[in-house]
Amino acid sequence: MPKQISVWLSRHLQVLFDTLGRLWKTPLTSAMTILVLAIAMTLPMVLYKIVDSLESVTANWIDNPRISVFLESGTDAEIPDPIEFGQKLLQNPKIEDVQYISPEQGLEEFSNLDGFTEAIEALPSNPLPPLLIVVPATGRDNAATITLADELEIMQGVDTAVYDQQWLNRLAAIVDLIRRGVIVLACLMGIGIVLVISDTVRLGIINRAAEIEIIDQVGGTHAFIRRPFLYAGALHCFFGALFAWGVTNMTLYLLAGPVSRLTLLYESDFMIGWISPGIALAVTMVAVSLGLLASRFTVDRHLRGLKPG
Amino acid sequence: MIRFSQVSKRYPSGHEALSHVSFTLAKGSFTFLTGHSGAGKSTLLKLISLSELATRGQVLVADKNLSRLKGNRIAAYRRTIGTVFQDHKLLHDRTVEDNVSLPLVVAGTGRGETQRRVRAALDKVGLLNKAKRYPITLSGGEQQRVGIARAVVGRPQVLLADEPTGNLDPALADEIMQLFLQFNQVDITVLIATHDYRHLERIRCGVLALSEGRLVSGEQDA
Repeated sequence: MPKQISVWLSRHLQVLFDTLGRLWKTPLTSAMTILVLAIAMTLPMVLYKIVDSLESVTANWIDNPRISVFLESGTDAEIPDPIEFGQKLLQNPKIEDVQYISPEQGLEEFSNLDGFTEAIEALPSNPLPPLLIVVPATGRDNAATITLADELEIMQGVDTAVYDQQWLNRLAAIVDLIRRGVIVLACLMGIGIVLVISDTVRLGIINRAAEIEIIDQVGGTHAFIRRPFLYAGALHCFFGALFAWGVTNMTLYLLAGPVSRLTLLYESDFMIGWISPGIALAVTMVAVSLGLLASRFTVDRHLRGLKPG
Repeated sequence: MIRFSQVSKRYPSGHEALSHVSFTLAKGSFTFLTGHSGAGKSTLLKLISLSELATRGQVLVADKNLSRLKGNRIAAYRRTIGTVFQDHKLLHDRTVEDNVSLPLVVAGTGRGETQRRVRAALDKVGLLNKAKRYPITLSGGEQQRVGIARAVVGRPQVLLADEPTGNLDPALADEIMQLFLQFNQVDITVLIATHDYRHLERIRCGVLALSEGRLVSGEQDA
């Protein structure tokens, strides 16, 4: 038995190296095919990573809704003290936490942001009202949060109570749309991979038609004839996936700078990050499987013509 | 060894290449298959090498009904048949020894055994010193001998040759024929399609003569 295994292994190794040699012998053709495959895999991977990162950030926001309560400012006696007002709000069972941001703190935060410093310096006085950030006790319950915001707004001393959920909902919808797009794109690219491999293998069969005919004639099994083409399909996809991993991370690196500048403007710690080895491995496995399937299908179609008729 | 019973072959185009052909070739026999071109010689050989299937009738080789073979059994059967082609059918991107070793490689023969048998086969056809050459650098006669070495390297039971001397001058053709006779002496059943009647006069052997797809002389007892 060990001898059979070693024969089997040596046969496969031989085909593997023979196929690698063939790829190496036509470097330009191989490189172009591998690049096409890599691009087909890069596009969905980059988009996936963006959606994935966006989702983790927005999920965090949606899970923790906040109501911004802007108090009336001034020295009028009717205007309550913001800190006292906050204490009073905490007694409401629908409210979990209240955080006070004074006009001075608000101004300082603004002046830390790009482009605001000069504008703030030009102001004669601090225009910001005192702000209470209210965390509802109802969690993700959107309707309850909206009701609470309405209640807060009609309270004495409150200028406006803003529940800034709408843009988050819009963002979530956009993320959802992109995610659907990624799935559709990945499917289309999968079909693309199958077509590219089918075509590559078909050309390989044409180039080796004489060899196939002779091998068939001297008693080579269909598995024997099929083997180098299966390896060719799998290897193209393997290198394509490897390349795609690199290109994807390079693309993400190029996007990282502008994205972090953009997210800073939204006061977010959003980061794109890298494609994890797990995802890269999954993409490689799917791609190699598609390559094997496509080459198997293509060779079998040719082999049907070799059957004695 | 080879038995045809009422074999007919009609191609999809409607052309009937063989009709009602019956004969038996004994194990270890040496037979010429003659007839003008288009008489059905190649078709008859292709039925034995299982490149084609009979439309009607039975082809039995070593007691196997060829029309019943499927899948890998076809491949296994073909390993017991050596075929020599008029146009050699050599792979020009491989050396002489790689060409000859092909039947052993597809059969999964071990490396040492393969080398030994390839050298023996090349020695037999007198090309041992050209093992590392590429077929394109050899003469027509030498290329034909490479084809013969490839046909016998797997120690087939049956050796088929389709016009093996068709492109060779008479002296070379005689050399090739001598080779086939030698293989016949080690009990390989040999069937050679030819329209070179010189050989028929010199070599005592069986003759199957085809004309328009019918057997006009030869054993009809099947």
